[in-house]
Amino acid sequence: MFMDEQGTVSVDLLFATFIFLIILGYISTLISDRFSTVDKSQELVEARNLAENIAGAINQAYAGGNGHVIKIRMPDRINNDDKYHVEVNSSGVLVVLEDRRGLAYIIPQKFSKTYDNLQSSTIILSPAKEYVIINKREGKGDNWIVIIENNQKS
Amino acid sequence: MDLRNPYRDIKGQMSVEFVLIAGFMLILTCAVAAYIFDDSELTHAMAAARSGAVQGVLADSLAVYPEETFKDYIQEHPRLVSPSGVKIVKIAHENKGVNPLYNRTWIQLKIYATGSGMDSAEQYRLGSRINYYARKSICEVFKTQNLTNVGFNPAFSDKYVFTTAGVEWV
Repeated sequence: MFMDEQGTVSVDLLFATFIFLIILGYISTLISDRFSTVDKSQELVEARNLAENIAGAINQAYAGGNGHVIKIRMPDRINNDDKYHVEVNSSGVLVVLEDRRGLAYIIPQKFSKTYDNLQSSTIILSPAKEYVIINKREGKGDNWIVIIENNQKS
Repeated sequence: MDLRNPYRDIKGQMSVEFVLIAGFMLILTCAVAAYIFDDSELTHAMAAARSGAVQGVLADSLAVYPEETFKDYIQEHPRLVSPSGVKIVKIAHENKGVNPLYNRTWIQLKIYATGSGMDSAEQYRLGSRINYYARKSICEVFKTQNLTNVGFNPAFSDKYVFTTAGVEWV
């Protein structure tokens, strides 16, 4: 009775705490490794997801015919990378991260970054911006995909 | 209880029986500790290998590669820049005895994976990536990156050295 009142700790508790701390220390590195894996995986998933979403929007605009317009908004960052960008040309949609690349194929077509003066070019999409994808038919019949920032449609 | 000294039991004395039992348990614990730690280290390394292999499979499946690899694939293996359905079936290991070069027990990992629509050259590349990430993960968990080369081949833990056989596609 006196022992409890004086704040002593039982040997059982000390032993259990000791074992618990050893196990915790031992698995902490493995847990840290798993968290790192999850973090890296998230970056890959977000990059692939973005490439496929943009490719899907472009294909949809192309299939929709002349005048079809789709708006897309680029995410602020991929995982923690806010320096990424996306390159779009007739080869496909290329997501460029700091040290990685991911490509989504699209239906081959002509791309222009200007609406009035159609010129074949690679279009760069930047983070946190909104773009419109427009299907525009040229006079002689070819359909172009025009991608411009939403606030400068000219 | 000693009636002449009623406080004897609450002053922390231990009985001889307790000391004997505690001593016996200590000896027993020391005897099995080495065996347990060896086995535990291997279990730990296998868990790390699995974690790494999953990361490799994710990189293969999502087809988001480092820049140099991407340039190589776009020229030589364009099929690999599209997502593919690769899965780990199992990870086995074989004890090859003590490796005299490294003075550690040599464990060879063999990863079994499945995926369709790839030729043998493409499977080789995807399998190499899975093996690379498995070895890398082991080195990172045991902090032995400084003992190995850029390909993490072989990978080291404290008492083991790990190599990987070619991925078996089933």
